Amino acid sequence: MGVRNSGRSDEELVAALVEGDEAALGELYDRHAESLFRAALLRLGDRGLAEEVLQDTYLALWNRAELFDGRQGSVIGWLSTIARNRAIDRLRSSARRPAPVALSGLVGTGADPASAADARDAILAAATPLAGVTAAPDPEREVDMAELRREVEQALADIPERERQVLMLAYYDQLSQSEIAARLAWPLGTVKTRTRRALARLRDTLGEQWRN
Amino acid sequence: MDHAIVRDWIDEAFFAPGARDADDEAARGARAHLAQCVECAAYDEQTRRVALKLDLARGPSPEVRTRVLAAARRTQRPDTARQQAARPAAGQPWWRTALAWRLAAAALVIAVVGVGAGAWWANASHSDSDADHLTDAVAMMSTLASQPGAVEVVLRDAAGNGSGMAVVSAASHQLAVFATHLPAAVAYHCYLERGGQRTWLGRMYVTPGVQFWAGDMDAGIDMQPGDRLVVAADADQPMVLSATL
Repeated sequence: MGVRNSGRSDEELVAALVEGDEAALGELYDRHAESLFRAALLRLGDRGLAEEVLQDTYLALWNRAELFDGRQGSVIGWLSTIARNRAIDRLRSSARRPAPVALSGLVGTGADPASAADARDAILAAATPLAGVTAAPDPEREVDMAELRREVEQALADIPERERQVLMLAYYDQLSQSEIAARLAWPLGTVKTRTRRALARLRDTLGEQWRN
Repeated sequence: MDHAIVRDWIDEAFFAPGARDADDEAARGARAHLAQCVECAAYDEQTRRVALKLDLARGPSPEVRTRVLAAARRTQRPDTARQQAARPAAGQPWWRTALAWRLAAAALVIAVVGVGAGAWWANASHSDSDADHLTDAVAMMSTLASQPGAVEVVLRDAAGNGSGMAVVSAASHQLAVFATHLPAAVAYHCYLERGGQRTWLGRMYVTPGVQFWAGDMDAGIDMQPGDRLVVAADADQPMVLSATL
């Protein structure tokens, strides 16, 4: 069982939640939020929705911590089940939403989101165990994420600096092209051109299915 | 709709959360085209895969953690609430009570208004009612924050520094916005921004250290997830603070 910060186990933190310990909630968030987010993002294909699922999952934990039974499974297994159900709820309520894209050739690209989601479960088994299954470290998955991060970092590094600058402002900071033009004192047309070029470069480097 | 237009739409949607699900003519046309054009569908999937990889590598926004803890703080656990009802004074953290929350907020107001108050009163061109408004605005913020479905966001400047916050309640159609570290000499306005278009919400009040606006939103304003709350000197001016709802 991985332990961070206070040295308390996941189960001890959940017990503290029942007593209203907000710090315990923060600690459980720090331990598991990233893997829960990744699983939700792969399932939903939408960053905003994945963050909503993450938030809902932790609020459900906060409100229903007393329902956790350590004899039935691990805390991460329980959290993963909650997150999975929340994600399925959103898929069902988003009839217009296209099927999530396949990250890897191992995952089917069928139009039925539920099928794609089921396929992803096989890859994300360690991050999204069903209740009753003890979560175990998954070195292969960690290696995969490390590889993905390297791939992204390299792709961004390969973009000319000015194009990368405008891409970061537009994508990560969500600035409009007009705002970027004002901030960088560039003509709006230049911003648009560099934004398109940067995205085209990323499509060439990151747009293909994952090598792993 | 031809391929070039659809691919432009795909590129723009890459940078605009929620644009893919918009119910406007362009989005409907693009979705219809993608359903029958294999080449553009492949272009779309490539583009979405780029976004997926960027997002996976980045992880959740830090704001999610803040929202979770803030919501937990507002939503007292049921069993904890029962225990406290039985023992009203025993073991109840002071920050958990609504009254204490308001008192703390009032103390904050007093502290903020108090700092530099001499200079402010000496130079104030605004009426002294701005300070009264601030008290009301903070009270409204605490009320909105306790409403079901209320959304709390951190306002950030272009460099990503947090310099304020806002609470939006869809239930009461009200909004409270607070900004810090803005020049007091400049009058700022709050806007709702969607697709690059801004809708004016209100002119911010000015006190030393805090500029703010709180109140009812016009009936025609329909805030949606993905919209941006923007603070700017004017509708055509660059944002100085913003947050995505």
